[in-house]
Amino acid sequence: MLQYIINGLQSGSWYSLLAVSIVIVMKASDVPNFAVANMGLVGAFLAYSFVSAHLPFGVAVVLGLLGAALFGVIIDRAVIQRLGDKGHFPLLLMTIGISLSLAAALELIWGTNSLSLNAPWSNKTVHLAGQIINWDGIVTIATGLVIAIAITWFFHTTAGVRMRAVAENRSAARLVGVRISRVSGLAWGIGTAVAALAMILQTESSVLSYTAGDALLVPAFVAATAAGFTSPVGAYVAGLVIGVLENLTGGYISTALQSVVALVVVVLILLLRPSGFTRTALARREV
Amino acid sequence: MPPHDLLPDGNRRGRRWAKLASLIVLITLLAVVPPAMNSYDQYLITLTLVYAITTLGLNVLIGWTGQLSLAHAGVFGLGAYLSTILIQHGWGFVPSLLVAGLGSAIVGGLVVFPALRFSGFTLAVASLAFASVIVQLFDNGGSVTGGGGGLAVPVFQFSGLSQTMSTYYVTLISTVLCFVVAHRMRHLRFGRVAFSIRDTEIAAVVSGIRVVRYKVFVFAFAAFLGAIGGALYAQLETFIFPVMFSTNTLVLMLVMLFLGGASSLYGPIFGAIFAVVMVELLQSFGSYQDLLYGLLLMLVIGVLPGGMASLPERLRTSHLLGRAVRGVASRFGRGRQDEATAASPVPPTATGSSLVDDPGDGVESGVA
Amino acid sequence: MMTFNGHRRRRAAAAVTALAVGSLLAACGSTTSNASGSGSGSSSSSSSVPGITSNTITIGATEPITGKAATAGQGLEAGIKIATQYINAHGGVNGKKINAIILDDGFIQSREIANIRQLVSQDHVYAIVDPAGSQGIAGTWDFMKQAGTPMWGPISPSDPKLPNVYLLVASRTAQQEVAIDYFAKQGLTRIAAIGEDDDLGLSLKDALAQQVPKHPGMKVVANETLPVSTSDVSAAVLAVKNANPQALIISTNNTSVGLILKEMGNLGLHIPAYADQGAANTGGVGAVGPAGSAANGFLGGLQVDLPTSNTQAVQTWRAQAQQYSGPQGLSAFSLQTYMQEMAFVEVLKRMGSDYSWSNFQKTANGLASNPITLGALPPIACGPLPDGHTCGNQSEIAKFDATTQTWSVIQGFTAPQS
Repeated sequence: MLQYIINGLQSGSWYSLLAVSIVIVMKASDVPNFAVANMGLVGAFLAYSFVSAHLPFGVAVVLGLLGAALFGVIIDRAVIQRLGDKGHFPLLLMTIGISLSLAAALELIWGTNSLSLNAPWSNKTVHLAGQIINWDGIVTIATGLVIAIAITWFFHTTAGVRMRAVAENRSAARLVGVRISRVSGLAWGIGTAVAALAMILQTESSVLSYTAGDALLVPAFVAATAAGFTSPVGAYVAGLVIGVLENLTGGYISTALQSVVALVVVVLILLLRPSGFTRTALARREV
Repeated sequence: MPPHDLLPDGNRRGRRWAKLASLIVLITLLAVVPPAMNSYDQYLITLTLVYAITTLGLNVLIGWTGQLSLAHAGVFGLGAYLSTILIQHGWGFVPSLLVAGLGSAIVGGLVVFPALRFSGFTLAVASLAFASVIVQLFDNGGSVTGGGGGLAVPVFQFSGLSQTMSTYYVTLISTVLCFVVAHRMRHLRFGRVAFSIRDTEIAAVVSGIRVVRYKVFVFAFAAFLGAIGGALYAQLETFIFPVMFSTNTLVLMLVMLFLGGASSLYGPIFGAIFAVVMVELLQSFGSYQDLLYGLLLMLVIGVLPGGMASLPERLRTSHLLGRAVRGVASRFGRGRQDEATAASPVPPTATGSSLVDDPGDGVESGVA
Repeated sequence: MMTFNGHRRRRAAAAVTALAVGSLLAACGSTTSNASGSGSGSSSSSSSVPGITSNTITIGATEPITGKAATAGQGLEAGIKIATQYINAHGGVNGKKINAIILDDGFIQSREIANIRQLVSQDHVYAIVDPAGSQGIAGTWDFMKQAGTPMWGPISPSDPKLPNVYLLVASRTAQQEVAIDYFAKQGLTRIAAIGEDDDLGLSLKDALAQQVPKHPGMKVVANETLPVSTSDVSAAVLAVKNANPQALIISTNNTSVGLILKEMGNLGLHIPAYADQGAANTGGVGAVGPAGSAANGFLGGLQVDLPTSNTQAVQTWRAQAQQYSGPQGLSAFSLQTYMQEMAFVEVLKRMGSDYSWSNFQKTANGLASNPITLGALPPIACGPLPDGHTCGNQSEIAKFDATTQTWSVIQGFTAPQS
């Protein structure tokens, strides 16, 4: 039981971090970023290349995250902001297009073989209360928690408050002197870095390939939906819940039903609280 | 405004009949030429028509009505599986096709009820999840659906015709019927309401349109078209399994829709032709093909919101050619054009969702 | 675009409909006269056989050269190219050069179906040789049956029992059955299984249902199904561990095999684990590589000899493969399609001067009495339908050594216990 819960918290942390990234981007650009997992993979592949170039793992990860953040900013400047006046609908499709292009580009650059992104703690275990726990599980869960706290704190800093202001009322924010383009770039940078962290943690404990993000996308979006697309804390908790439920389902009912869990959660949200379970949830705007 | 509004009356009527005549010629050609082709080309033409029907369904939903539902690949699969299972249980082909379409329409219509409570992104996520539920059903359906291993499809065959040609003719009839129905609906009240829901839902509500009823109908009609497309796809591929109806298929549909031209009636046909021809031409380019697909989708969204269907119009309004046409327009058509705009229930400058272009295809002029 | 108004629109629409139905009926009426034309590729015994000219024989294949299964696809492609090059350099088949058309399907099922149609009806190949057997190939059976074109050695689908389709090597299920027999011989009776939720998992279920009852005392203690393309295998492995098995059989894609081995290592589950050639990528490190030291002792099935083997046949191939400039030339997949194409050429040689499809079938169906033995493949002994088109069911088992990163055969070609 404990083992299933720990495994669940680990995979839940991947969902959580991606969901947090979705929420951050949503705040600034008001678009659900369907490219979140593949944009995160850019950071993971960069980290892999830095490790291959014999850089220490920690340095490689930091460089990978910075690269991902830069990539996020570039996408925002080059693509997202140019569409700013065309409404949400093209933005959403644009993220699908980005995701599609990225998957192909990653395949072309890094190939189709599964790669290993090894951390110093990879394949190391610790015995805790009679259970065998992987170090990568512990690191993943701890990192997820730290990031969730950090992002929550960030939204209370000046930059974060600006971002929230943009999320709640774009034109009013502009009137009081918030520079929307800067806020947007900041959100895409931070959001992509958080997504990259999720993908680094995920691929470090499994394998790195250009399809690694596919299986994470639906649970991550369900978690973000549960949080009404607004609350990072809500998204974080929802991600963990989905991860744990999936693993308990896999352990006690059937592994074939694992992927249904996220779908059941969505149905429940839709029936019970269409606006998400977070108190601060805003009514979503029309597309 | 399309230029035919700017032409004298007699000329307009002439153009109309010319168009009808060319349509008749086209359909006749489609009926007569393929038997002389090899089975590979027959397969490709059939695939194009199947894609066109399916994308038409998505167009009704997204392009016309602005409902960002992402369940279409699942509904496509529902049509494929329902029809195949019915045929396997001894049903005739035509009843199976219709029941698969109507059954999916009911499912599509029912699903809309929770979906009505929200719109936009929540609808996108919810419908994506709904599509996954459908695929999960295929996966876990035991011997009924064949599970992950898939189902062999009993193929309908006209006596004396090859399997491929039989599927082709069935698909051709279905395509013509689906587009005729869609064309009719587009020019009736339904189409106008759909566009007004898309562009200004609140205004539509205020003006007394029963938005809910229309939305249910739109979802059902889109699901019907998607399912018919799916049933024909199953006939064409002769073997179906769950992965065929995954998100990749949805992405392909979105690409076809937006490349072809969302909201234009014939956009899906251009999109389907493009998708099939491009895969054939770039077949040896492997992954570069996917990259090109993605980049093209991005480019179209950014630069050509009306898709390929809007290209002629674009060219006409572009520099050289456009100047000449506009010159003529200013001399003859000013008054008429204003009239048409005034009579249109659709505000010419749509708010927000300007990706999907003007209803086009004469909706505005048709109502006048 | 069209503009109609008022009653005219209705009339026009009605006209279009009537016309469509009318033209369709016309087309139906003319079907009898067109039937012979449209079936140009169908029956076979006529004097001009597709794909054969005075100095060439054209064959075709579709392989996943890009996409998720690219490693396997590139290997399969390499083998065909190497064999073709070798055969042509040695005078071809009765003076005719082989011309091999290889199309890429990107591991997309509808592409695979379209490619087979293109090869048959547009490129007019004589035979489809060594196509990949991914799930889409089942969608070509109806078409292949009608076309009549021989299909020689599709990689690992289940036998459709068609007159013109020949499976040369042990199917996935047959390989897994050999593994079950192997475990029984080792005295391991508590068997666990992890299968993917598609045809891979189904083949394993068949093998378990078929073979486990043949061994008294053996039972399946865990039978887990993984969603397709999942990256989270921990719950499945944990469930297997909790069932306390003595051996594990895996039937998933390469990536999942690596993940499962890695997770087994993490959980300290040290039991023999087996996967068939496709899943284990036996002979290569595509699947086991990411698992690192956890892959030590892993068992992989082999439909064909190890590419590192030192038999005469493998050495001849290796000498050719080392000249090959493309990727995966030295993989087991390359050796497999190479050998299968050699076997195909052997059938052609035995046919004499009559290249008709009916003679091909007659010759192939008669192989049981005089099997083709090439060295690196078990004897190819096709017979008449219903069961004769599964021409071989023997497979080897190889063990992986993670420190040297090499495979070594621990059990030679063996058929499943009947």
